[in-house]
Amino acid sequence: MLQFINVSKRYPGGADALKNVSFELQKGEMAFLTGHSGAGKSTLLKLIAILERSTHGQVMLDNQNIGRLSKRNVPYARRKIGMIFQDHRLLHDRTVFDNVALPLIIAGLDHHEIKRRVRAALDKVNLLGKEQRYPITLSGGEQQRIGIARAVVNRPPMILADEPTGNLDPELSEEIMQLFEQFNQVGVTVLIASHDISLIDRMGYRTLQLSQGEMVSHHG
Amino acid sequence: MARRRSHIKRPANLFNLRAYLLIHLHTFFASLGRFSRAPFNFMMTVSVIAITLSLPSGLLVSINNLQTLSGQIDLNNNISLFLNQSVSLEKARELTESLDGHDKIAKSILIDKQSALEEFRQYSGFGSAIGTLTNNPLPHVIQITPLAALKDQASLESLISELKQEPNIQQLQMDMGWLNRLNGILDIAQRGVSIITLLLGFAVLLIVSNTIRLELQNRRDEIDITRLVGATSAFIMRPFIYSGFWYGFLGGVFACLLVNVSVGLIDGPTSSLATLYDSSFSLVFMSLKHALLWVLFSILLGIAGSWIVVGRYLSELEN
Ligand SMILES: Nc1ncnc2c1ncn2[C@@H]1O[C@H](COP(=O)(O)OP(=O)(O)O)[C@@H](O)[C@H]1O
Ligand SMILES: [Mg+2]
Repeated sequence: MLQFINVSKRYPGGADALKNVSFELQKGEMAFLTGHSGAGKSTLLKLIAILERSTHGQVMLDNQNIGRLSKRNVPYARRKIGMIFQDHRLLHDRTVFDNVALPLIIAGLDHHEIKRRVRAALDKVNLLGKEQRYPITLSGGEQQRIGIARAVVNRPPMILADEPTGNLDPELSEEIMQLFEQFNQVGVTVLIASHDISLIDRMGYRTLQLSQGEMVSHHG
Repeated sequence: MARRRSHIKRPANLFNLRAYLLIHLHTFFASLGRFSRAPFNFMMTVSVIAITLSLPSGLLVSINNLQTLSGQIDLNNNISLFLNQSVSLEKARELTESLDGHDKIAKSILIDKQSALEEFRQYSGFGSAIGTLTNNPLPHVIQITPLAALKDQASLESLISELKQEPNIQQLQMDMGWLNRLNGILDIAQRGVSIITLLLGFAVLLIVSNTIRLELQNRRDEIDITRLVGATSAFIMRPFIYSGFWYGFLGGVFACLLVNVSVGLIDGPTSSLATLYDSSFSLVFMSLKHALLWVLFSILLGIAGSWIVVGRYLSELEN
């Protein structure tokens, strides 16, 4: 489903964030992306979500070179990916419901369908009943779950999570990881960037390891 | 392995009109909702636009009023024909009657020199001085009123040159020069207003752009997040375009109201003044057609202003 072929990324004026990275992720697979801070994890995820473009090499998603996608087609490619961030990236002046509904409103679904799907997504992350609350009134773990609900509400075939448990205690982290496992069990491809080695080891999934922009290992 | 043709594309064939309209409706009211959260800022921008646009539209209405006024003066524009001193009263009466029958003249009145002198004696305050005159120095005067249809300069002039051929007429006086000058000035003023309209229209464009730029800055996070979850440029622009629409629409409507309320305020005194001059003149308001055009103009400026700002912001983004 996802394939990196000799991908390099150099930020303007900066050093190489990724150097000649190659790996492949199968459809329905779940994997972790590790490496210490500055290794290039976020950069790699950003290339998949087309928030950045590679300097060299190809990023293939569903056999398509998404690095070459024209600007006007990028939004449609992003709708196939659910992205989750460490800092949640929620709209703080909107209710939980409105935050989760955003991808559906963008896709132009009708009101009833939006309501149905938002409730289903909130149910999955255990936030049903808090639709009309504002994110700021909820705990860090709950806010992260809003972000997850928003990422999956559109039923994307792939989920990317950038340090989703970075600010959470181990117990909450475990819960969040279990959520990702549940999505993976229904066929969603999941790639999670994290430097929480002990958690990753405990979960026992395939691990891709980055070090200073280079992929030092990408096997289970 | 790699297919060359892109398969992530805009789902053009899946275009759903209902969903499209729903999105529009949603954004339309959302933009109003945003204003209700900062009504002071909103009304401030609307007021600035209204005041800015009320200047050229008010000037145009003033010019219209002056044109109407000069048109009415045109209507009762009389020509005084001073006859030769030697013309007798009978001859003058004859001439008056023949002029009355002229096809370009609505009516003609003879003011004979005797009654003219009487009148002058009564009203001028030189009564005793005039009493010492042995000869009446005044000529007979025929006052003619050209047909109302003869408003344009050319047909009036042809009538005048015709009258000049009449040997009994010594002098012909038509105080129209100032009227022509006024009309000329009004024409120039109208052109001046076009330039002012352009300049102030540009000012409105800048006002809207600046307001939208601030709005854009305040909502940069929101835009980034919306883009992350797959919003198109059109989706992001839409609420700003609606903001621009509301600024323009309300600014335009208030500009027209400002002008018409002002006309209403000075209409009363104007009418009483006109009554003193035995005229039924009253001010004209901005016509509905003009009001609609001003509002449309203002809406276009509002939309253009926000389109330029947001379009530029989005086109400068890399991805
Ligand atoms: N926008 C950027 N501009 C310049 N350099 C950047 C930018 N983003 C990241 N980098 C650099 O690229 C390298 C990789 O960063 P990142 O992908 O964020 O690593 P990680 O997520 O593993 O901590 C770092 O050296 C970082 O300083
Ligand atoms: Mg990072």
